Amino acid sequence: MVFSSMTYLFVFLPMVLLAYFVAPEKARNMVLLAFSLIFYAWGEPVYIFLMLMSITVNYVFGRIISNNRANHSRYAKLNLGIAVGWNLLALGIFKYYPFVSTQLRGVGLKFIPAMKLLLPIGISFYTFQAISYLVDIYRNQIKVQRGFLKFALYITMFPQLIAGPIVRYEDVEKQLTKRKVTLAMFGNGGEFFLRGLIKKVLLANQLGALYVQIESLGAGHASAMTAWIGAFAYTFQIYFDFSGYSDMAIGLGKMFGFRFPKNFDYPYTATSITSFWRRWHISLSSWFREYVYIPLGGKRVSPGKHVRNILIVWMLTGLWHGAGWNFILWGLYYGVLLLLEKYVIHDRISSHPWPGRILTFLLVTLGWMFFVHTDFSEMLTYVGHMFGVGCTLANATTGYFIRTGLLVLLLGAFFSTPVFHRLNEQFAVKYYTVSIALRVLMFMLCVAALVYQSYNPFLYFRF
Amino acid sequence: MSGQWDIEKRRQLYIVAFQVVAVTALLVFVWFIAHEKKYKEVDVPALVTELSAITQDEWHEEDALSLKRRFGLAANDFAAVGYFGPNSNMDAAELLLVRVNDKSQVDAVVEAMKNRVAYQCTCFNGYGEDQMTLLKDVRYVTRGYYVFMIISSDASAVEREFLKQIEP
Repeated sequence: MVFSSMTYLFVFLPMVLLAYFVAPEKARNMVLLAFSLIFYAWGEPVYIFLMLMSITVNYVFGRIISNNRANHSRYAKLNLGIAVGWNLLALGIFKYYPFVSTQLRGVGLKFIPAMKLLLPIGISFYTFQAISYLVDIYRNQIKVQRGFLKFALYITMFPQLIAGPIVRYEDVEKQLTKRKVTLAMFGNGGEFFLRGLIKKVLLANQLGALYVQIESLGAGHASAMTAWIGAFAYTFQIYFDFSGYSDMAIGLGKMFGFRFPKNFDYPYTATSITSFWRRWHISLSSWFREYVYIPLGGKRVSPGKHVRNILIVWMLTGLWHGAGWNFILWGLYYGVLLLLEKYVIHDRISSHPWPGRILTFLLVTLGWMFFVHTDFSEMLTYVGHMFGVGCTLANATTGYFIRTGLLVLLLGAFFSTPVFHRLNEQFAVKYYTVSIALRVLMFMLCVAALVYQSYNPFLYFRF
Repeated sequence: MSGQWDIEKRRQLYIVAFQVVAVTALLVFVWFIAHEKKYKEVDVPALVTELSAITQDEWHEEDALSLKRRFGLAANDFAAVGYFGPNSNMDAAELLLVRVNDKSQVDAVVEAMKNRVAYQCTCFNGYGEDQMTLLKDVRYVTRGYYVFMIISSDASAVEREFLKQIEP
């Protein structure tokens, strides 16, 4: 189920809110768990069994590791290895087996069975949450969760289940047992949810439509400027799409008394690639830093090993986003850029905010074109067009897209900075009633847009 | 002492049993998913072209832009799409076959198809009797990951041929 759908907004959400607040406090976890399972099963019910299996396996292994970590550390380590291996096996089979088997069969290993498996939605997110839980128990950073329902709720909580943020257990540990929703917190949650809905429906979907138009142009209409307009449209689309989802998830969490961590911090205003990755999908970057980069030795190793660590982490980051060579290329592209910043450029760019900001934005835009094109020849053609290879600088089609797309691109650029947020807060304090009326109006606009747009999936659902 | 050792041994045995069950259950689930009834994976645009030939001159092939404009659907969001639209604004015949990426997309695609038909009905209602007959006879066929909309003077023949082609 998609947050920005009529079924969700007018059926599922009111039902879960009603059931949650009518239920006695002790039954609220049960209510949330039941609705989370319904939410997950919507459309693809068979994968609910995989999720239930994952919950059971991780719950039991969590207890085994916890019971043995004090006196049998090797035994605890063995069980941690088996548990993490189980999670990675599940992720590997469903997400990577079809890709790996295709590659191996392509080089003549025809005995490897080809298997087309559908990716269970959100598997990358909930698997990473489960692994972080197990590792944190082993490291003695958290107490094991003895309540099965509470643990199941941690894994399945519907607001962040299918597209993050990746919530670490310690962030919600206390809230799983006791939480309080005040009217102010509920209202703040609603505000976050509406902000996310606006980002998704009024910005991301419009920018996506612009990108689709440009992407589907025939070679005869291609030009460098048109290709850049398309690339900018996708760049803003993926930001509003994903950060919109995260805002909705955080907002829904607040409405039920949970505080999820921030996942975006105006990434397109970053003055360097390092800074960009501290602001984009923060929960994933933190996960890789905590559970891969630091255990590999981080930067407290020789330069050669540091280079290796960076490239491993970024190749894995790319692979996390999808099983495809383009995702590996995209990950390594960032690995190389980060190494260049660290060893060659140092802080020469970030000390000049505006040139740094523009260069970072352009590099990120180029990176998204590696990311979005799963077909290498299409990727090379598109990126080639961006640099004028095989096309003119501009043509009549460019003029059309400037006329029709400039406004939405400018809005995208404006709303991806903190300027609007600051102005909005000042406005809300000064003109409270008008501000409320504007929010209602924006919600109605979103609903109207949703009636017109029949299908609007979130891009990060694919990962 | 020996009793304690026995308890510990038994506990470890249970853990090993659980480990085996966990891995086996996962592999059985994968086997089940890999072997559930699947409709044949066909070349969607080629199949739609073939189906469009059943009743000639009713439609012509359309591009992703028309799909977006008329249905609000982006071709890139799906595994494959084949779309034949009406020959002119005064025609109603259409064929749209979508192979979705996952079943959660099915409802949204059917909804988009229904919206399109509802819009066409408002256009032809009152004067386009033939077109309204076609639109009232619309077929929505959902099989596995395929969603098919048929608006045609011989919708039954198109549907029959489609089902024959995707049968495993």
